[in-house]
Amino acid sequence: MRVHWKSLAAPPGCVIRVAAGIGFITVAAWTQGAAANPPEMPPSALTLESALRLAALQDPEVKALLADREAAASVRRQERLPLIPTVEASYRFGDKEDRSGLAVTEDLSHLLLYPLRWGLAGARYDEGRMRAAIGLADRELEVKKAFYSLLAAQQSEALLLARRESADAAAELASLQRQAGNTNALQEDVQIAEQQDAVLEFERARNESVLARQELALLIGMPALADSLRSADSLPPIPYSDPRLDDLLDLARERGPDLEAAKAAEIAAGKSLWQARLNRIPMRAGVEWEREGKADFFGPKLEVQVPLDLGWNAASQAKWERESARRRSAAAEAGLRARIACLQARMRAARNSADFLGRTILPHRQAVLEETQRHYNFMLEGAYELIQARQRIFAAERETLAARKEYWIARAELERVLGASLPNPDAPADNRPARNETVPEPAPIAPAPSVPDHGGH
Amino acid sequence: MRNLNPLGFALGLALFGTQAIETGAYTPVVTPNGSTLGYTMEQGVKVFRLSVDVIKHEMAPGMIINAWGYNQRTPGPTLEAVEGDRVRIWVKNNLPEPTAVHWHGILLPNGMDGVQGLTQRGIQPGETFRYEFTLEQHGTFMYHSHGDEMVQMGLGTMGFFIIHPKTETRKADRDYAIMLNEWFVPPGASTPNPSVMTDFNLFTFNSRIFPGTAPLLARPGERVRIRIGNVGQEDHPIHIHGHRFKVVATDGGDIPASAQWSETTVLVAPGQTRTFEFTATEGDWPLHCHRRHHPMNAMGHQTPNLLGVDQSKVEGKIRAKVPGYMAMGQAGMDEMTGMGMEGPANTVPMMAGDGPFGPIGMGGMFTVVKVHADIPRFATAAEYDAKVKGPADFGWYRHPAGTVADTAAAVQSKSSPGKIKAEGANGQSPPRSAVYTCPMHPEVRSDGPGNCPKCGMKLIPMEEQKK
Repeated sequence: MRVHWKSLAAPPGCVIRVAAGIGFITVAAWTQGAAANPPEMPPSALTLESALRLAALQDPEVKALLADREAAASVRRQERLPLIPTVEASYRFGDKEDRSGLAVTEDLSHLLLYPLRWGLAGARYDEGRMRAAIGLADRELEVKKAFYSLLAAQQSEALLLARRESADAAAELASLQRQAGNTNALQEDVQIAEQQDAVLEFERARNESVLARQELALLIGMPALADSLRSADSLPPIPYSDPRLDDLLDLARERGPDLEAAKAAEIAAGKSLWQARLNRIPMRAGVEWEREGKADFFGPKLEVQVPLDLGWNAASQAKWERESARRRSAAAEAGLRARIACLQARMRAARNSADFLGRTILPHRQAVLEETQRHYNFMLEGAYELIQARQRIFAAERETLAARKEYWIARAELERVLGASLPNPDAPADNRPARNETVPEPAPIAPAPSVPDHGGH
Repeated sequence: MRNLNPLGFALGLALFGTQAIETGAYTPVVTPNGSTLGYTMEQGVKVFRLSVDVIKHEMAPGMIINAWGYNQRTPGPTLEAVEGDRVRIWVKNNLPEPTAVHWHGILLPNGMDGVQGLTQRGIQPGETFRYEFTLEQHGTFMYHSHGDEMVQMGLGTMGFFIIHPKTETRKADRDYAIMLNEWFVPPGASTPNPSVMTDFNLFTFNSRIFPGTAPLLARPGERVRIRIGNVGQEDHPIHIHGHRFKVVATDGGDIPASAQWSETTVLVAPGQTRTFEFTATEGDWPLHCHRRHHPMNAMGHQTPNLLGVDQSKVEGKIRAKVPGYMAMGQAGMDEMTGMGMEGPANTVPMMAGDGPFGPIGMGGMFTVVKVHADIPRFATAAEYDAKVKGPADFGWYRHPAGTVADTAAAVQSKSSPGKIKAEGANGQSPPRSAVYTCPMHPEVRSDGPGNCPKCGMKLIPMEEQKK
């Protein structure tokens, strides 16, 4: 999913729809005041897209983040007002005569520094907007991780159920042997022990499925439907290749929310510093009317507030805040390469594992099963050896699932860092060319299609 | 000892190796699935030429092993001579290690005894040694490696050395020699493991397993002599059906008639030969080792015992995870015969072979003595070797009417489907029995068409099932 945060800064009352596309998720955002009607979605047919959509619509955390964004917009609107006069009314009860007064003043620095204030309001709004966007991106990442975990848990549960069923059959056969008087209790116990192990593993897998459903249900704002949450999808095979590190780096610099947020904070801090420097002695000017008894006084008013430190401390604070923002921005940029490289390494390791499992281990274990079957046909091996050969295939399939899950979670984390979806995978690793064929160069990153900017700033 | 020119040796072997043996004085000994070594005469000396070789050997159709033998065979070719002959045997070693050849049971000069390191130095790879001695006895003897015996004999270096008496007082019409041996060949593999001491899985007659063993042929009333030699690891009680015989000789010499007694089974221990004779009675008679596992081919000895275990409810559950699984063994192992399931490469089923009434279901040390009126006579052992290969050769015995075991109703009706009928006036062989079986349950057998009692599928002829 690509959360196009710019599109979220819409004027009140607008319904924004961002076009859906491959690798791109529709985010339908209703502003305050518009009722949000989540689409009809059977919980048993959950897809990644639908999960993200539901999260965008129903997750309270997402709503809170959107509210934060609206709050930042409100602040910006207020700060960009040309005049924010203050009206003071006073009434004093006097011994002899009462005094009343009315004054209307305006902050002079507010007036004089209006262009700076305009820029600062925009920068602060960007900063707030980016914080909300990061929160949304983090939330999206959580949803993706939870969804992939659910897929892995479902498939693992199915695998372990099959494993358990074969262990049940072996134990049943052993019991039948024992009942026929062909074996003793010790020989039967070997199979029973294996069955119990299989039962335990299956129950653990089932619990993991339950937890995965609960977590995802929470994230998509449907905790009541956790028990029935299912997906018909399977963990996709791992793509053949991934984009180059340098291409990813460029994209992250261009669209990465963390870097952009750090830069926005740096800009805002810079503008704040200027304001602090230029606004060290607040002044207010306006007009005042005062009545004391029957005498009226009307005229200009000037208030000057001179802090004892002449505003140096405020300016110093602003200076260090800017310095801090700069350093954070630099750190974000410096650490970007390492973060991306680390995530790529995780993806590569998972791919290598899945590749070895798919190309070497699984075919070998299948061949062992077939050869064991031939031995069984000639009464050279028994039924238990046959079942065990099958169990070893289950184990390898489970390892493959774990590798796939690790890959897709690492990939989701990478997309979070990039602020963009990676291109659709080409031929999956399971179907890729034979070993002696030339491995093509990694595909360059294709930027996600652009979306109309509804930001009315 | 002198090293021959290899080219001359090979030329001699090619030219003279197949020379027909003189047949006037004695009945030539036939080594089923084997051969007899020809000789040349050099100044009154019978000259034999042996080479010790690394070979590929067919145990039965579908199973070839890596073996060691003589003259590209195991057992090596049978040497035949006459008491009083002077024999010269050239032995060329083509093995990767030294060897020596011991002439088992033969009285000879100590230096010709062929014991590596004791009576001679080992024949090094590539070397040719000469053994020469005068035969001072007659009987059934053997020759085998006596260097690294465990490996070389474990891989098949053995053969018969038969010395006929100068005057045959009791000539047999048919004379056969069978060498016994045991092997361990992991199923799917090709090389026997000579280190195995007791857990053999293949037991052979002349290094062959049934259904790869050639039958022994005779006509009714003929005097048949069978010589059994054993340089293996285990005892073998050799039993013949339908006959009583007398053991007429051991490797120590003839047994006087007064000391002979009737047997149907003779125990042949390692190192022994036993020769027995009988008058052949018509029929197809099994000749086999009577240790239960020995007339069987390889099977797993650690497989679970499923006799009497009703797998009907669990079979489907296992098959859901292992699609090829089929319950076996609950009613014995006969269901294996004729199933035609795929096994490991280079492996013969435990129970195999087809007879006129269906699968015979034997293996290993099993063969058939066919006594039919129309069995031909063979002028030479070589002719026999060329024409007789497997148990179905020369057809099956045609039973006279009413002499075949069957159900009471069938016997009473004198017409029983599923068995061979009496020989017709035209002498043609009766048709094979039509046995029907289920494609999914091969253990189901029926004399006629119908439906499977287990699954309801239509029964098909066994011949179709095998296809």
